[in-house]
Amino acid sequence: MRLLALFIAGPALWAVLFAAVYALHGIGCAGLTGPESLGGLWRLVMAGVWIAGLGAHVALLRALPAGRGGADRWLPLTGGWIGLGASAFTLFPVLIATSC
Amino acid sequence: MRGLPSLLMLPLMLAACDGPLSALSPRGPVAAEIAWLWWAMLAGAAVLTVLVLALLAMGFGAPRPARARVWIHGMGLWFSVAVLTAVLAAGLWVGERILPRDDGAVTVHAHAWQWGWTFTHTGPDGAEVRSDNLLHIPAGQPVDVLVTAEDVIHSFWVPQLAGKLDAIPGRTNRTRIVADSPGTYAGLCAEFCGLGHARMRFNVEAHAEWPPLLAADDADTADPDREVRP
Repeated sequence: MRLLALFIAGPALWAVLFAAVYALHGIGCAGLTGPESLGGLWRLVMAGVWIAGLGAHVALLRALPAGRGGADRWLPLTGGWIGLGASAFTLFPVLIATSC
Repeated sequence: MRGLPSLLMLPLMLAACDGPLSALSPRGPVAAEIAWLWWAMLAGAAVLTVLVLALLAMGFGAPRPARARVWIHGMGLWFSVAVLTAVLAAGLWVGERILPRDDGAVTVHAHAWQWGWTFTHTGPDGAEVRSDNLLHIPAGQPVDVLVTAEDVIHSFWVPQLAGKLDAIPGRTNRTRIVADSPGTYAGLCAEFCGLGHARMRFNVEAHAEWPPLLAADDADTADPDREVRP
């Protein structure tokens, strides 16, 4: 069970990060603040959360226990890298795509 | 012989690539960008399908040595990521190019209701002109459509001119359509919105002269208190 939890830690962090950036995008586009009206500040906020999330992924990778080797080691590491790759790949458009 | 039915179906399937409601026969630059993206995504999906089918074929027959470095890391991971990255880049590229811009485009309104459309544009005398289920636009120039809804979520779609855009009660969404030449183009509601959804069609009339001089039957002066439902 612990091994499973360590394996899904990376993808779970991606899910949380994706939901957070998606929510920020929705709030901005709803007109509460205006994503582009504050001189692009809202985009900076979204990008900041994304970059902080990437930092969290790296910290997670470094914090994963070495275990006893074998699957105890590579399974959590694989999950960690999948999460990092997914966060980098699916959220980089916040830097370049037009909001709303 | 098993492939014969598929072969016989091919002309019918290819026939679906053309027609007034086909996004693959674009009649304007926005729709052309979307059609190009569709072909790019089809190519990416085809490449990945071939890879998966090759792996499936390798699973049959006598066991054979397969190098993990090639098939898992190389083809399974990096090759797939490369294809998906290319498709994502194409999507971002096209998405940015078809967005409405502040460039003085003609603006018209599309209001959806169960089950029909009310369109409004500015007439020759500056007054608002309204027409049900017939949208008038100029040909050869960009038109921004402000899309709203009366009751439930609908979706504005003219496949030969642009992509879909949801019509949401309480919100105003903006989409850009362009018709290369004068003519009539078919449109429809692309979001299931109730029992009358299937007959929620409309036409787009692209005019060489703008604003057009319309016959009395084609339009009526806008009245905000007018009941729009039939």
